[in-house]
Amino acid sequence: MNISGFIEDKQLKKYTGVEPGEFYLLLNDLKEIYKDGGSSPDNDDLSELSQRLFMGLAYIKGLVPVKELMELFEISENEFNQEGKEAASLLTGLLTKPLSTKDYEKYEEIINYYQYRIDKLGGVAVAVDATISTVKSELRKKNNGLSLLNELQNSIDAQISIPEIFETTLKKLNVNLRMDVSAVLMPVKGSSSFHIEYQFGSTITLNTADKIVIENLTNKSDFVLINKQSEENDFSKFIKEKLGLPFFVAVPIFSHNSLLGILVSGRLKELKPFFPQLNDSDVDLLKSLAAFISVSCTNANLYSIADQLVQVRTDQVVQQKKEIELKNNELEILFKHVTDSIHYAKNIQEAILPPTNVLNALLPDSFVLYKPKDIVSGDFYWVDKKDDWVYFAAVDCTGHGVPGAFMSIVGYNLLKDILMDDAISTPAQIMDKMNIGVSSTFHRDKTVRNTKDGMDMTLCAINFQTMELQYASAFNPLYIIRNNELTKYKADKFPVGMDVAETKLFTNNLIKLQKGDTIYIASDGYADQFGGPKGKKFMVSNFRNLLLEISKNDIETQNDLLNQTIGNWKGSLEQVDDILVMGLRV
Amino acid sequence: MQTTIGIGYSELFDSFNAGKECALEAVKSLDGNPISIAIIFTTVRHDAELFQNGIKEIIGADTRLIGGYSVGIITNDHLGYDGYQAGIMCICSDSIHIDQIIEHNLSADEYDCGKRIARQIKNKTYEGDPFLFLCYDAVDRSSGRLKINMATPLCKALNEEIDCSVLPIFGAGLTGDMMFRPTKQWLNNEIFQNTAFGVLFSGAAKIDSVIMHGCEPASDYHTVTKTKGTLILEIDNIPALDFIQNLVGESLSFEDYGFFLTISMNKGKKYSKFDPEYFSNRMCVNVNKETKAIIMVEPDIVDGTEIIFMRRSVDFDYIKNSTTELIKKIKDQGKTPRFALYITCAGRAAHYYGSDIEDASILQKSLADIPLLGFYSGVEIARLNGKAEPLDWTGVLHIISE
Repeated sequence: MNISGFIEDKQLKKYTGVEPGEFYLLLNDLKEIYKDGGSSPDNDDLSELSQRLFMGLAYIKGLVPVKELMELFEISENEFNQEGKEAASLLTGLLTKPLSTKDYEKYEEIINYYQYRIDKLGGVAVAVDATISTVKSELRKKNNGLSLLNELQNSIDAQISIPEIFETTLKKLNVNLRMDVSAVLMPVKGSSSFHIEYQFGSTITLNTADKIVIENLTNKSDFVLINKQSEENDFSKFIKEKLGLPFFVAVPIFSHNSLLGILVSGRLKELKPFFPQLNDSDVDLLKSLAAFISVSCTNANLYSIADQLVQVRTDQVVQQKKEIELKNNELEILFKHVTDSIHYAKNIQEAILPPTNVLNALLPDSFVLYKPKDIVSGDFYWVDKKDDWVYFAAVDCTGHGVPGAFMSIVGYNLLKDILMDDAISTPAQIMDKMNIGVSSTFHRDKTVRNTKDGMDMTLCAINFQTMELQYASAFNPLYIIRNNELTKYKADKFPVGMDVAETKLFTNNLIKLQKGDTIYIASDGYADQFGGPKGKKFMVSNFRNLLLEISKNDIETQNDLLNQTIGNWKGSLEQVDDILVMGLRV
Repeated sequence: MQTTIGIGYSELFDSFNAGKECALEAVKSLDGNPISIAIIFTTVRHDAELFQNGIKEIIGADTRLIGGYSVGIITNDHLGYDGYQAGIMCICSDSIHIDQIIEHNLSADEYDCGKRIARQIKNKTYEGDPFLFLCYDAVDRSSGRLKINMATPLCKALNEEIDCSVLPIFGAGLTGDMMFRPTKQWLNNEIFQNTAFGVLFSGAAKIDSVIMHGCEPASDYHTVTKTKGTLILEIDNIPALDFIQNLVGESLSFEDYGFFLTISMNKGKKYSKFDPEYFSNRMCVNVNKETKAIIMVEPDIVDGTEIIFMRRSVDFDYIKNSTTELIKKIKDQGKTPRFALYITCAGRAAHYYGSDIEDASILQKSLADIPLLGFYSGVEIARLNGKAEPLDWTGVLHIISE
């Protein structure tokens, strides 16, 4: 403020001793005086008049030194004295002059004017404050509604049950929207009425038997708003009686298109600004909330269904697991029985193999490399003596494991029985007789003949006195190394066990032996084993080369070298067939 | 033992757990020191007994306890109202002496109750410069209808017996919400209604206060020419409602007068610069259309009282500056602020007043680390012109130092 035109109001009193209001009144008076008789200064120049007035007052009151005033106006002492005195002389009369009735009326008029204006402005300010406050309260309400939705979104997830959704919502609704009581009415099963299922804020004890039929909240757009202006109806009476709530908003909660319940929220009192009257914006907020509850409940239902399905599936899986465990136990028992049986079969099979002492006695400088693929084997070796001849054979029965073992029993029995026949002595005769025996055992029904039921074998008979060797062979050749040279003796190209109708006979071969000769007979297991750097078969050619290579060693070492070589070749691969190699040095 | 203060706050719905949560937070700051007294406030939404039990479970059954219901709570880090707010201040001190005071049957005769409180105080001698933090139950529903207990006769009696320029009295009229539901007061292991109770601080404790009105003059001075109790029937010989309607216009409905109309009495120089320390505000609570009267909270505006109409204007800079200046003044005097009590009119809460900012939030920042317990009240009592004076629409900050 600067009423004097040249000095701040707060400084005015320091120099002149008068308040700005008084200064203004004196300025008007001085203006009138100059108008009546004064010639100078310019009557219209209020700034000049203000300066004169200021100077005159300062001159009269003498509150500050003249020197300071001279500096303030930038005038000389003479000028100050002249103008100050002139103004002061006029003011002296003015200041001492009693107010006339006219003046008094004039001042009173001015005072009344300002008094009225101040009162009116103040009144308007109060009214505007109230309006702004109301508008801000509405905005705050909306803001609280958004905060509430946000809070609910953060606190309600799909894993919350429907009762928990309602309880959480009602609590937060009361706090955030400053409601006193909130509740959810649920439909009574088998009836068109509702009862209060959930509530928060009321101290009245609920009775589930209290029911009411609500007909005007059946569409999504429906609502009930009860405030001081509303007329009472059955629903409002029910809510007032059961929840103690005289003012409220009620909106339906739909899940898909079915009415899930009724959301009710309200206040015990209407009193601005603490408990503002419920209005359309409260209805909008509750509708938003009902929509949120609807989505939450739908999610909760879906989650519940999914949870139930998961539970059912889990139960099924648990049941299946139990059944599998039971089966596994049974299988384990069965497997144990089978394994035990096979181990027992192994014992039986081992019983048909010649004991080491018999083997050493009949074939003193010999070895047998015998490596069954499984516990029991389809390969077997046999040694026996008749007259001056020692018979030995390496037999490869069809298949391996248990089927092969059964076949080997058949083969062993045939060999043993046939050799007892005095009329039969050569290996070829024996194998011909075996051929009949196997065929009659396995091919009784010719309509289901299986050509695979049979044996590949080499049967030898050696006379150490005459140094003669007879042999007959089905598929598997015989090798003799003499003087570091390997000779392969061919085999007949049909197995023991062929169809007797074909009437093929095995060839009996005679070989004159020399001292130092080494005889080898084998099944095809060694040559057929996969392995080596490329996972290929060992091959017959490599087998022959290996025999040639190891033949320089004593007979026991040869066994070791054969075993070591096939082990290295196989590596981590599976053994594909039973392995049998017999060696004999004469 | 150096004076230590613990403050706790809770908004839990469950009253017992709210008490526990408050107390647990408060005792964290006490370094295990014994509690001289715990001052507690909650809104009416809490069960008084459960809340008390929750508090006692943490601070012990024998610890002195005092407090009552309020519309809301303010601490250094929290403020809230009209919900499930609860707050506690635990004071541990050898140097600050604390006496509890309580008088019953307030509603029967507020003046007599004031006299009885004064006698209690006068019957004892206190070390140092004692001062009284006095609260009273503002709500009387004993008859089944709402009757407001008056601060005017209570303060009148106190002023007659006690020189408040020597023994300052400050405090509040308590209400637990703006529906004026029945309020409760705690004293140690008991729960009462209809009492005036207080904490008399003495010993090393000193008090400094500042009044922070939420309004400023908005009219010229007018004279109340006819009254009856709390009714103002005429102003300047014009029926009060007509007079006010002429000022504010018809856009402000009569229903709005109940909150937005504030009248003040200037107890200082008439035309001097506005100084809140001299203005005693009175809120209009309702109107009577038949008698064309406005209804005030207190009956102290009588025939001939010169009044001025006020407009709502919470001066946030004033709150900040006056708080900062008060702290500076205390420190300049070589005192150490120990804790602050802030009593503010519930109507000043931003949600009701329509403000964007809570005045208490400005205070929280300005007080920095001085432990604060504040609450929203129905009536504020502060020292005005050397006397205990009921005020409306006011915030009063008290800093207790040593």
